[in-house]
Parts: sequence; C-alpha cells; structure tokens
Amino acid sequence: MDEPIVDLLVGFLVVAPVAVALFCLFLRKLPAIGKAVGAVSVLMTMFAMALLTIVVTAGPIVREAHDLASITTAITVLDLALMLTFVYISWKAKSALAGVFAALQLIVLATMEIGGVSEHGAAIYVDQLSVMMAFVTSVIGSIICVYAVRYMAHYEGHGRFFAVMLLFLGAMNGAVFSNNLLWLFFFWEVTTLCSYLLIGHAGTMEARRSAVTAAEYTLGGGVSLAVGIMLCEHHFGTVFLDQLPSGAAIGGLALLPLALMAVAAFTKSAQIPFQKWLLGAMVAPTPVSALLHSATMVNLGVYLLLRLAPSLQGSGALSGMVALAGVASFLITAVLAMTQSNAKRVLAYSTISNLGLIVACVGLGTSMAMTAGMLLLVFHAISKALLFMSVGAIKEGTGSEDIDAMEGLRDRMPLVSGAVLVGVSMMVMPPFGMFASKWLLSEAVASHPLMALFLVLGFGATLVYYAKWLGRIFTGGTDRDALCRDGTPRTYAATLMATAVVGILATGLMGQLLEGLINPYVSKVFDPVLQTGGWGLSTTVGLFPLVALIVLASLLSVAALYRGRAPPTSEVYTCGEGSEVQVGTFYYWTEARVARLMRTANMLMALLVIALVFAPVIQEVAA
Amino acid sequence: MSSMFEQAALLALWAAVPLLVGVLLGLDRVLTARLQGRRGPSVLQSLRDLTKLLHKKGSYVNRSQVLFAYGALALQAAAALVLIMGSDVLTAFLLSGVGCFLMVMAALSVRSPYSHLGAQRELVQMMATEPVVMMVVLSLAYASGSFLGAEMEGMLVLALPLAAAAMVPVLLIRLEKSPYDIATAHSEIVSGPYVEFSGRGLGITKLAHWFELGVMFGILLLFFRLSDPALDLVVKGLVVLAVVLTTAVIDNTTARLTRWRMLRFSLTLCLGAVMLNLIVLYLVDSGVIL
Repeated sequence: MDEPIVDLLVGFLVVAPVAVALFCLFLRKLPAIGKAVGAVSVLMTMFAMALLTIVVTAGPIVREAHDLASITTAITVLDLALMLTFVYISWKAKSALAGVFAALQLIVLATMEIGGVSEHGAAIYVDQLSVMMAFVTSVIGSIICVYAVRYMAHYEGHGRFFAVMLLFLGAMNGAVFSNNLLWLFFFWEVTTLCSYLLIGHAGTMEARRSAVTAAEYTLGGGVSLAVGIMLCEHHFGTVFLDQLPSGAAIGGLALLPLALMAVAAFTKSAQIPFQKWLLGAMVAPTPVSALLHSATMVNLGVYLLLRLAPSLQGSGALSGMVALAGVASFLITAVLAMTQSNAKRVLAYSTISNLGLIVACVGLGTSMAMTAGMLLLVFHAISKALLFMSVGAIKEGTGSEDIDAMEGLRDRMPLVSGAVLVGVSMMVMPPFGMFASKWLLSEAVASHPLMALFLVLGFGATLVYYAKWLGRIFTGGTDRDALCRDGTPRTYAATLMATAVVGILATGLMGQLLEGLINPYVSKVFDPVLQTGGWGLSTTVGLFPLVALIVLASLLSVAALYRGRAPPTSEVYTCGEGSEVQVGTFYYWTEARVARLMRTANMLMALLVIALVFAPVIQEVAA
Repeated sequence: MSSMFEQAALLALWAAVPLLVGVLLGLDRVLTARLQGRRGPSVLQSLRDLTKLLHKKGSYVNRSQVLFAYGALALQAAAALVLIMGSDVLTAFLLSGVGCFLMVMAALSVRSPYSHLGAQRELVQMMATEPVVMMVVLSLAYASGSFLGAEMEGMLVLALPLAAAAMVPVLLIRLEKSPYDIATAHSEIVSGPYVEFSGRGLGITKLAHWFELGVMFGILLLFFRLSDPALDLVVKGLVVLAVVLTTAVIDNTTARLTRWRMLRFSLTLCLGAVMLNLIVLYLVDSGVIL
C-alpha cells in the first residue's frame, strides 16, 4: 500500500473530526451542523474500514519519531496550553483540587521537557488493537453524533456541543494511534477536557458540579499517568509503548510506573473507588452518556491496560492486584445495579461492571483472558451505545428515564423497545459477543478460585438487573389494546438500527474479528488459543458452538417477526381482585444499605489501589 | 472420535430427556405420597399431564409471553443437547441460564401480580443457584483439565465430594421443592412464573423446565463416570434415585423455609462448600498440602 494513502487515512481519522469541530463552531445553526456531522460521520466510517483492511492485510503501520519531530513540538506546545487551560478552568470553578492536579501535570511535563526524553522510536504505531479501537470510536462514535443531531434540538449551544463531540472522537483516535506516551498523554488530557465540557454542557448547577467532579477525578488520573511516564523514562529510558520491557524482566521500583499508569487507567475507566465521576456524568444529555460509556473515554483506560499487558505479564503481585481490582469492581457494581430504578444509572453501573471484567482480563494475564478482554471491549461498546441511545429516545417519548415508568413500553414504543431487547440480548444472550466472552473468561478463571467466585456471583447479578429492566418494558396487557403506530423519529430509528446491525455483523464475523484483529495482538505476548473452526470457536479445553447458536437465534428472530394466526387471548388472573392491577418490582436493599455498601466498597478498593502503588516500593525494600 | 452410531444414540437420548425427567418426577410424586401415607398417582402421571397439556389449545395474554416461552424451551433444549453430545459443559450451563432468564421474561411480560411475583422469586432462585452450579462446573473442569463433558473421565466425585454434595440443595431448589413463605394465595404463588400460561403454552414452559432439570441432573452425573458401561449405568441410576429420595425427604421435613433463607444458605454454605473443595484441590495440585 502506498505510504501517502496510509498517512492520509491515519491523519484523517484524527484531523478531520477536529477540523469539522472547528467548522461547527462557526455554523451554529443545527440543520447546517447536522449536515456537516453526517458527512464527516460517513467519511470516518469509510476511512476507519479502509484502515482496518490495510492493517489486517499488510500488518501494523509504523512512523518513526524523527520524521515527525514537528508534530512532537506542536503537541508539546498544545500540551502546555492545555495544562494552562485546566489551571484556568479550576480557578474559574473554584476547585483547588483540580487546580493542584493541573499544576502538578504542568510541573511534571515541564521537568520532562527540560530533562529531555528519548526520541528513537516509533511515534505512531497502528497495530490491530489500535485499529480495533479506532473502528469502535469512528463507527459507534459517528452514529452517536448523528443521533445527537436530533436529540440536541431541545438544547442550546449546538455549535459548541458538536465541536466538542467531534473533538472527542479525534482525540480518541489520536490516543490509540500514538506510540509515544507523551502524545498519548496529550490526547488523554484532551478527552478529559472534552468530557468536562460535555458533562457541564446543560449549564445547570448540578451539571457544572458533576463536570468539576469529573475533571477532578480524571485530572488526578492524569497526574498519575504523567508521573508514570516520567518514571518510564527514568527506569526504562524510553517513552515509547512498544519499547517497554516485558514484565518478567522488571521488578521492584521499576514496576512503579506501570502501577501508576494502571491507576490512571482505573480513573479513566471509572473503576471503584473512582466511579463517582461517571455516575455524576449522567446529568449530561443522553448522547454524551452514550459517547462516554461506549465509544470513547472509559475505553481509553482499558485500552492503556491492554497496551501495558505485555509489561504487566509476569509482574506477580502487581497483575494480581489489577485482576482483583477488576473483578471486585465487576461484582460490586453488578450488585448495585440490581438496586437502582433509573435506567441510566443501571447502565452506568453496568458499564463500570463490564470494564471491571476487562481490567480483570488484563490482570489475569492468560491468552484466553486477553482474548476475552478484547472481545468484551468491542461488544460492550456496541451494545452499550444501543442501550443508551434507546434510553434517550424513551426519555424524549415519555419524559422519564425511570424503569418503573417504562412499564408496557412494548405497546407504546415498539421500535425502541425492540432496540432495548436487541441491546440486552447482546449483553446476555447467545450468540452475541458478550456471551461468548463470558464463556471464554469463565474458562480462563477455572484455575483461580477467588476470581471465579467474584465472577460467578457477578454474572448472576448481571442477569437479574437486565431481566428486571427488560421485563418492565415488556410488561403488557392483551394484544387487543396494543400496538399503536410507532412514533419514533426517523433519525432515532436509523441510528438505533445501524448500531444493531453493527452488533449483529460483528457477531456474525466474530471468527474474522478473532483471526484478523484479536489473535494477532494477543500473539505478541501469548500463543493465541481461541481458534475458529468447524462449529464455532474452540480452545484447548472448550468449545463454543457459535454457528449453531447463530442459526438458533436467527430461527427465534424469524419466529418473533412471524405474524401468524393471533392466539386466543385472555385477561390476566387476579384472584378475583378486579382488573385494576398494579405490578411492582424489587430493589432488594434500602437506599441506606446501598449507601453503606458503597462506602465500604470505596474504602476497601481505595486501600487496594494504595497497595497497588506501594507494592513495587515494598518489593524493592524487601529485595 | 465417536462413530455415527454413537452420535445417533446420543441424539436419541437427548430426545428422551423429557421422558426420563417425566418418569423421575412421577417417581418423586409416588415417594412423596408414600412419605405422607398416601398411595399417590402412577409413575407416568407427569408424562400424561404433559401430553394432555400439549394437545390443549389454551389461551394467552400476549405474543411476547408466548415467544419468550418458546425461546426458553429452545435454549434449554439446546443446553441439554450440548451436554449430552459430550461438548462444552460450561456452554451448556450458560445456555440453560439464559433459558431461565427468558422464562422470567415470559412471566414478566404480562401485567399480572402473581406472574410478576413468581418472576421475581425465580430471579432470587437464579441468584441462589446459578453461582453454585457455575462454580461446580468450573471445579469439574479444573479437576479434569477440560470443559468438554466427553473428556471428564473417572469418578470425579472422589476429588470433589463437597461440590457434588452442593448440587443436592441446588436440585432441591430447581425442582421447585423449597416451600414458599407467603401462606395466602398459596396456590397462585406456587405456580409462580407459570400462572398466566395454560394449555400448550403451559406445556411448553413445563417442557423447558424439564430440559433444564435434565441439564442439572446431567451436570451432577458428570461426577460419576466408570469405564464399564453397565456399571456406569447402574451407578448413575442409583445416584439419581438417591437424589430424588433425598430431595423428597428434605422437602417433607422442612416446611416454611423463606426465599431469603434459601438465598443465604445457598450462597454461603453451598458456594462455600464448592469453594473449599476447589481450594483444597488447588493446594494439593500445587503441592502445598499432601
């Protein structure tokens, strides 16, 4: 493939969203912005596919740092400007904490620039993992942006909103293409800025407070990342991701940078005890939640962990603690999700929960776990986008995000209910990817009793909270008084269907996904064990009949769509109580008890994170 | 590799799962009756009930209810098939779990207080049994080194006695034996998630439940495998009989257990037992003890 074309593709996915973002600032009018967003979305999807094809067929794209010195300089300048912006924002918001974090980042960065950093390596390294992430960001992110064009009609400040949304996508792509940790750090902090602006977009007191909280947490994570990078340069003499030594070769204090970067990843992926910012972010308009939870932001944390996996592998206690932090987050938030009545909150907890699983996969550090982690990342992003966008459509149609208010939505909004059904199916049902990765991860933990315990309990809770929500939507009377015409706006219908199609295609092409993207990355550290063949996916110890399950699911879907003779209907049995019946649901625990559990969990997990950071120090002293 | 003939035999066995489970349930009814000093129905009564239900038209409240029920049957049957063909046990268990999920959905898709109550109780049951059975499957795989049922050789019960024992309370719950805690409207609550089904629809949900029981018994039987086919069959038969007898006795001696006590019991004692077993095995394998 010609080099200029490849450069164009890589550059386009970062620069085009940013350019259109600036353009949006001038457009201001929603219809015009809508056209621009639609155009850039289509282009990004096409370019992401093209890049995907190139990387799958021709291998990773590498661009040396010394050829890109001018970009490095530009990024350094922009980085400093960004830090100063954060200082200014903290001063405006009167947040001393954010101010201190921003100042610390500035100091660390300045120290590194003065001290000089190694420049011999690849600044851009687009491998299978990068391109997988870029694909998720570009395709799912674009769909969400198009969806937002309709959703944001009720809000003000369109130009700014869409500018930040698109900038977010550009920054995500930039982050996953960067091999130079300083570049990654810059894009990382741009996403922090974007999330701050988007969460505070509504301008209400609550929104602004949540935005500041988000900035405090993620800037804190940024400090951890910055110090981690500085220590990388100190211990390993490099700031290039692909040059970091493998875990077996390092020990003692040299593990500290890895621990710090893991903590940064935890803040970005909102793992307990850093989950508060993501829960607060719910006040933002729904497209923002969709973007934060699926295509961008939280993925960046687990992406960094997946990148660090070769170095974490064999690091003993450190990877063990990462795994523990992951499964604990998974279980605790899965249990908390059962006690929530707000759909967005349930989804927020489930995001933390699923990301916890990915973190656990990296910590487990086996071939099967890594594969499961990457599968989870892709399929979680798709189904979570679908679910959030559905909740947004429901909110617009009914004015509520409360699960109890969604009773009988099947009759009132059949299309959106169908989207929720597909979304939840993608989360829990075969043959979809989440089910497959649940299977794979469970097989991976058979020899880790403690991890397995967390997992089996968490999986049980996951089924429960999805059943409660979906069941509520499908609670209905007889079909006689049902099925009015669907009034879902066309933009919503189109974006929801597009997301569902992406999810179904990804499931159908899971074999290709594995062979083309996941296994090549996994093979950097391990021998890939998950193979496609015969009836589906197989490992050395198990078999997943993917093809048969896809056939089964298709048959069931056909049966669901088939409108045969209407069966005789009857009213529900009420034990002679009359026809005015109400049904409720269980939340298992009182709010006070949930709050207590939350406090305890936060405390224990904070201790775990502190232990994680101090482990290398203790190891050094012991040695 | 198994021959065509063996495959056909296994398929036949799969088709016979409802018959076997039906007879087992009939046996359970006879045993219970005898324990209570009654004569009880014929052993084939449960099967006759099912055939009769499947031939009746019945009525439904709405379409989603029916679809979810058929979905539950499809998944439970698929799970039983995967298990019987000696394929991945974990896949079979997870499929069966989704089958239960769909049954809950079927119960929730009608606006009926009793159906919802049943569904919520079913969810508590799932929370009580799913983790235990999954842990049992993981321990089976750990002990035998494979998740494929066909490769789980030997009497694994010798290495995993506690895990096998933990299956008994689970079966007690899945057989819907555990007594219910709300005395009023007793019969409506007992029929739980099935309350809004009648005729063929009810038959479908019953069939789904029977396949699910087939999967649960199948997982239990993985603990007992002998190389001599005749002996193997005898031992398996005895195990099933012993379990049915035990559950009948427990059912008739413990009245009025509440769902919450069940949950607590299952998640502490049962899960604890499997964990303990697994950890001991783990320590033995890694040479820490023995």
